[in-house]
Amino acid sequence: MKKYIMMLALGSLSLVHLSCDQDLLDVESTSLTDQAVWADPVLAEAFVRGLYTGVRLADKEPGHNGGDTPAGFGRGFHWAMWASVSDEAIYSNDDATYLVQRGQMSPSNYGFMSTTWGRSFRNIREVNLALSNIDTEASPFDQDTKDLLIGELHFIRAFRYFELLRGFGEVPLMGDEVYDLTSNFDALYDRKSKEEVVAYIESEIDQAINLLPASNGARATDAAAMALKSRLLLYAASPLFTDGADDTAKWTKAAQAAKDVMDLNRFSLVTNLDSDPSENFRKLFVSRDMTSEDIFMRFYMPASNSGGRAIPIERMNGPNGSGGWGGNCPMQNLIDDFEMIDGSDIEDPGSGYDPQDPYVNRDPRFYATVVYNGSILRDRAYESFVPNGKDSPDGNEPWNTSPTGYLMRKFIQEDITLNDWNNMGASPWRYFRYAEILLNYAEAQNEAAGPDQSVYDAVNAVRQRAGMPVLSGLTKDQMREALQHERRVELAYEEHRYFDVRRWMIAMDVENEPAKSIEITRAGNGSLTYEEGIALEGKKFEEKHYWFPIPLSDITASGGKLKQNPGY
Amino acid sequence: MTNYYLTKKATVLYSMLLFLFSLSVAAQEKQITGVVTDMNNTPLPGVSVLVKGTTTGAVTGFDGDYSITATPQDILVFSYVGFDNQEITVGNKTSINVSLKENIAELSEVVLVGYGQKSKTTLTGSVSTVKGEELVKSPQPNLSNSFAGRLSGVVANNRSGEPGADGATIRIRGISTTGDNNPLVVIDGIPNRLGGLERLNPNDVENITVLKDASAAIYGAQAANGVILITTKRGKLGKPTFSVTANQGFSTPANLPELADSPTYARILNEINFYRNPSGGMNQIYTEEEITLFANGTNPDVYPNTSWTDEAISDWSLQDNENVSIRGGGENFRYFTSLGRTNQDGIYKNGINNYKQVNLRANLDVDVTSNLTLGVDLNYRKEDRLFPTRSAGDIFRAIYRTYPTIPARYSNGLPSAGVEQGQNPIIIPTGIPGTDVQPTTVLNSTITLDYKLPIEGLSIKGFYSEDRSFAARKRFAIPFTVYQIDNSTSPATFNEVVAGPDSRTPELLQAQDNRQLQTANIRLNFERSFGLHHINSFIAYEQQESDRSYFDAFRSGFISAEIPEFNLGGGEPEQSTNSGFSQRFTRRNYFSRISYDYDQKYLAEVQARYDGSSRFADGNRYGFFPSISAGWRISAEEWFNSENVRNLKVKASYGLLGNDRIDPFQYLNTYALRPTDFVDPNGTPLPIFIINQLANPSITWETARKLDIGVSADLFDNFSIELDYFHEVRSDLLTARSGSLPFVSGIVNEFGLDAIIPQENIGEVKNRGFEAVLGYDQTWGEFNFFADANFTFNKNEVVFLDDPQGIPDYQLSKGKPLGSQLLYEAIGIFRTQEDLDNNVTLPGQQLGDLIYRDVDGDGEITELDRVRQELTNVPQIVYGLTLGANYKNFDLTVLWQGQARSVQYVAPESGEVGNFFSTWADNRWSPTNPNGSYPRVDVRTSSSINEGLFRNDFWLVNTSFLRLKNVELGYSLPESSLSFLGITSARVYASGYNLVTFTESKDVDPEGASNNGQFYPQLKTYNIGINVNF
Repeated sequence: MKKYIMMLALGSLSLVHLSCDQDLLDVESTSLTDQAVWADPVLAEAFVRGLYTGVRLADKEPGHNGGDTPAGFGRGFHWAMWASVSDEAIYSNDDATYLVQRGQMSPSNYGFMSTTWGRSFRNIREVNLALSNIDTEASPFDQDTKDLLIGELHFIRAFRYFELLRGFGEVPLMGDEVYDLTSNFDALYDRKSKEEVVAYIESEIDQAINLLPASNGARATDAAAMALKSRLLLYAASPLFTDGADDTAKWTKAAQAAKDVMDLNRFSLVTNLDSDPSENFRKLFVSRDMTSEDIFMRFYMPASNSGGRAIPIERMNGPNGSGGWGGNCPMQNLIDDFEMIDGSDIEDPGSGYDPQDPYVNRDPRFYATVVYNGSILRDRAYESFVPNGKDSPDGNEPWNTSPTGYLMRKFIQEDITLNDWNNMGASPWRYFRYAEILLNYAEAQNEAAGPDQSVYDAVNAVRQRAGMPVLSGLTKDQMREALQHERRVELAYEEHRYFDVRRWMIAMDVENEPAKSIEITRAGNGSLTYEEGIALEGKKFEEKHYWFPIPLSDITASGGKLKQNPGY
Repeated sequence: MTNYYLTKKATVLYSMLLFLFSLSVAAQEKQITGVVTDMNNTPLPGVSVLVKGTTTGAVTGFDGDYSITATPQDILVFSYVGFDNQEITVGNKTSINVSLKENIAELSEVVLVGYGQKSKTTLTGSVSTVKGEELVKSPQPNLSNSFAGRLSGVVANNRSGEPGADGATIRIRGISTTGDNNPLVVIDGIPNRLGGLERLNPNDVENITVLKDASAAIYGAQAANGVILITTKRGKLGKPTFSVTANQGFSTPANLPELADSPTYARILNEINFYRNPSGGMNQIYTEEEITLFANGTNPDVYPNTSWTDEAISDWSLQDNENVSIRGGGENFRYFTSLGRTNQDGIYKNGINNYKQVNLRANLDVDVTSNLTLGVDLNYRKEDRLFPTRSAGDIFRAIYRTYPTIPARYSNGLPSAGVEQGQNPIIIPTGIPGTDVQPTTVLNSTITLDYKLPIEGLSIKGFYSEDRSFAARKRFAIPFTVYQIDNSTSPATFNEVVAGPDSRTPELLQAQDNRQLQTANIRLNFERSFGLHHINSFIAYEQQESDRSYFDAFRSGFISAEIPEFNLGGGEPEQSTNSGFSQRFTRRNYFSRISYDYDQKYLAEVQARYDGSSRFADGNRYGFFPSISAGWRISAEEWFNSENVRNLKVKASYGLLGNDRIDPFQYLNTYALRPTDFVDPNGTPLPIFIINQLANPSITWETARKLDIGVSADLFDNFSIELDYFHEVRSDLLTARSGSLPFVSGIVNEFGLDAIIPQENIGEVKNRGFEAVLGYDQTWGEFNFFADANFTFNKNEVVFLDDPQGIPDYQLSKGKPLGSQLLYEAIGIFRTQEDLDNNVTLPGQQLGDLIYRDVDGDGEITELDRVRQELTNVPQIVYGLTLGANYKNFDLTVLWQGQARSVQYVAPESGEVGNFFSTWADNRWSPTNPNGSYPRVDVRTSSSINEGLFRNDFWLVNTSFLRLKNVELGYSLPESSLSFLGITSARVYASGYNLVTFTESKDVDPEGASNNGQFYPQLKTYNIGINVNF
């Protein structure tokens, strides 16, 4: 007892005493810090790899969060897709897409579009941070590693700026500086002219092309950079970016950029997936592998339980009668733009189009892009008719009914059940595929030199693969219209239409069309009556909507130095 | 064993360690015995008898007797708390009997302060206290829920009543920072004690004291939010007291919203579709015949009328607790031990939600020698929480959302699928979808040594404590089947809908969160009187180390739901994940206090603390936190003589305090791994790194400057009054920049995830207010009545919080309370075409929508029309009123409690996505109800022009309330009737908690903090109990 008390007393006092050494407060962080990341190529590579993904800045956006999938470039697959803020689709659950469709967005309320602003600049700053640590003498990496990572970083920076350019037009250029909390941001409030931005992006792409390899997994390759250049220069030559001027030199340059990709002879249109052109086309978009047509793409995993890399597009865009949520539903406006199988427009006299039997003999791509009443999806026919159609408002969970009477079929894996969160389709998102390059070329070349044979070759390759008759004997203007139409149906849902109708400056027309639906009534004898309806009241586009609004918070943070886009 | 030997050894020990002094061994020793009594000749046990100038001492026993060895020259000093010391020279006596005189001043209440206690008389700080016996009056399984109304200056809002997760949010004199506003909790002298205060057994609590002003500065960098000091009971000299308490409670939600019934909801759906497509008419979803079918209930499978609150929530749920304690003490040993258990059931019908606790405490004190006391405190607690697999928020979301037009069960007994993924509210709170077991074990241990040095007034006190907590979690979620009717067949078929975990296989998540805390403290005290000068001071060193390690593992793909063990889970790589982290945090502190009073008339105190914290970079680690306070007891002046005013005191305090409750290592750039965010062409997930935190190399603590001026007095015979004015400026407030940091900088936070923007010491917030405490006590014969009222008003005001440049004044957070929202102002509802023509409208606005005020007058409704609100959900006024009466064997206590000047945003998740609260459903604008007080219904509130797209003040609810918090009626059985059983006293009582609430918040409880009302409601509890002592 006595000894015990003694020891206790000694113990407690010496504990106090002994631990008086100076390093008690020196506690190591258990997180990774700068020293580690920029000294180990494995860590640095993982950081660069992360820059192919983006962050979520608003609710219902792609982003790292539980089972959700992070944003890539653009928006890609997510709940509401870009298609649903264009004249392609209406999104059944709104999620702030209706305010875009109705022309109600403002600098403080803009749906998902203007978050591109913050997401891109964050990414660009992080590219700069990586460059400032890798692209230096002090970097301990070997030259090959450096070159690869630096090439990718320039590609990523170019892609992010391209996204800013196509959405906002004039944007600030950050240069190579890594801004921190105490920096002066004034230089960032100066929006550079579109020409300057285009030139900067082009030089970034050229650096990337020089450094990038031909094969690089799911990461950037030289061809990916060249495809980006083709898209960039096509946009740069378009009326919206030249303020209406027709600049042949720019079109020529754009055509050359597309031609450069074609001349690689690495890519070809996919024809070998099915003998039926419609099925071939459908299967291209559910192919989980890179095909001969794919230049740059984004991959997903089929399970959501192990991190942010899966997205349930099957459930999101599935029929309410099977527990789907409706999703990004194609408008009648898009349906009407699919030609008849003989290449005639449905409005053409003699096209054979019957409004009371509208889905026969259409462009094979129609059947691969859209689910319509009566088409077989999974193991049953889609029923959007009333009364009592399984997928109509009379069916299960009526609030998930398609507002247009159609569903999206493109990208949907039909062997995926809708009720299993760990079994998703995992169709990749195709950022660049060869068909786009051919259409880029045809468009630029037609503008630069008129519809020469090379224009026909390019566009007809795309049509023939789709099982459609070739074009011939068109004027330059007719060809322009044909190409605009071709992009609409070939590239539907692939995040082109929104920007295409703007860069062509035809949005005042097409985006002011009512958002149409189909309303099908079934009579007692089973016969169907088709009638056009309105999927969403109030579709509207104004001049100012050619550009996104810059988030108001940035205008106020800049104290007004940052200038808003006109009209907002 | 002899005292002598022990004394010598202990003395040698301490002389080695700390001081050198000579031990005098005197001659001519003899044995002296005697009895110590008070003036009424009642023996006093526990009186300290010391040979003056030596370390030789003894303590009186049960009968006041003592025995000590001394020489005739020695002087014996008899001292006892509450009595004047007496000194008697031994001389030739062998028996010395002493009668001690009570010291009136000292007898007055003793108040806890940081690292010590003070008599209330000489206190200069501003504190609130509540005694343990008050807290047991409304037996709450969670101690934090007994704070409300009982402590002036303390806001305690109970945000949820869920068993196991029902702690109150405690704020001392409001909030002062955008960060962590929690006060520092100190239990038995140890700050940040693991396990916290919530689950302390109220029967173990001796006293709770709240330091509200600069007196908290003795806790330095942790003290800015105020300090709560809790002491647990200790042994008392005397015969053992066995105390047995048992309580049985019956709980029910204090407030649940009324929800729309089927006919109403059917009409609402029709209206929504009418607004979407006006040409389709008013019956696009349901015909009038169908609505009639909903109303008359003839076909409950297809046209049900379900009240989900009735289906899912039981009328009563049970809670009980039992407690046994033994308290007593002998000649040199005192003990308090207790054993208690608590059981609390959730309110769901057939639900599994439950909280069970077993707590065991032993607080032991040993007088090793007359001048060395050893304390050994042990506390063990087992907290078993059992939750359903879905959170309370999810369950109440399902209850409030699920349509009345869906039956709970079909007539054949099969449960329906509810909305989305089979979230049927009668299924998800039960064990059918699995269980979430969360057991926590807490161990607190302390050894304290108190050694009186042989220099008068000088003593050394030190403690060393080790705390451990082990929180585990085992969540086993299993797929379950609900049904959906298909009427297209005859008879109807019931299709299975499998719901539950995402993988549709059983899934097991297991986690372990272990913490440890070591605290060592040593303190040199000096307390002595020199004539009328009295000094009480100490100098101390304390260090604290806290460690936490966490890991979890997850497995899906179990082939059976029978046995939730990892070795039975699926083997595929995507079927398992693991994660974990560890943290360490250390502090090192030096501090001192000097209190002085002159004749208990002039009072002064200086405190200083030099604090080091590992949360900051080298160079920013140490801070200095001084405080000063003074008081003047005017009534002690000789010239002051008033019969009606006694104990008149004025006091003031001022000091510098800190708040370091922030994420550590914000001075470094850090990166985080996201293991699967990038996918390779072959389908392999690859890790990426993202920026987790940008560095702020100069980050340091927040500083608070607190001023308090108070006056207190006893008036006439029955009244007491205490008034305080207080003022705090919190500067270097840690807040992340937002307004001045544009997206173009690239420094951008991810939505809904941890911010990468580090906190900076840039904010400043002011707090001002006053408190009043009034007491009244009156006895008429056998009838005694007392009342205690407290009232606190506190207003905080942002001085600087990085508002963006150029925003209009009415949007600045500057000048407004912390956390106030920016909202549009709804000034009415468009009821006529004229209204639409005469007001600024938004595109798409129609009749029945809210009219928003065009604040900036630019003819458009934009973000610039939002206005910063004046109020938040932290009330500016809180008050409490305790009324009590005793008559013969009856006692009655009534506690009223309330708050005012507070608001809560409540916008239910309604529309096609969910049902409506009746307040909205019954009062909605519609073409047939053009005078409705609520806006028209919409597809979903969150994307409606009337709410989610334009968050506005229509949805602000005034959450002022007055609540009958507690009533207790007790009856003490006459002593004589029980003495033959050995029972000294017995009391039976009945009490009620949250009995009545007066408030404008109709749908949900005014203490809720949820923006959509989806939370586990606060409870109303009726309780009966008995307490027996023998």
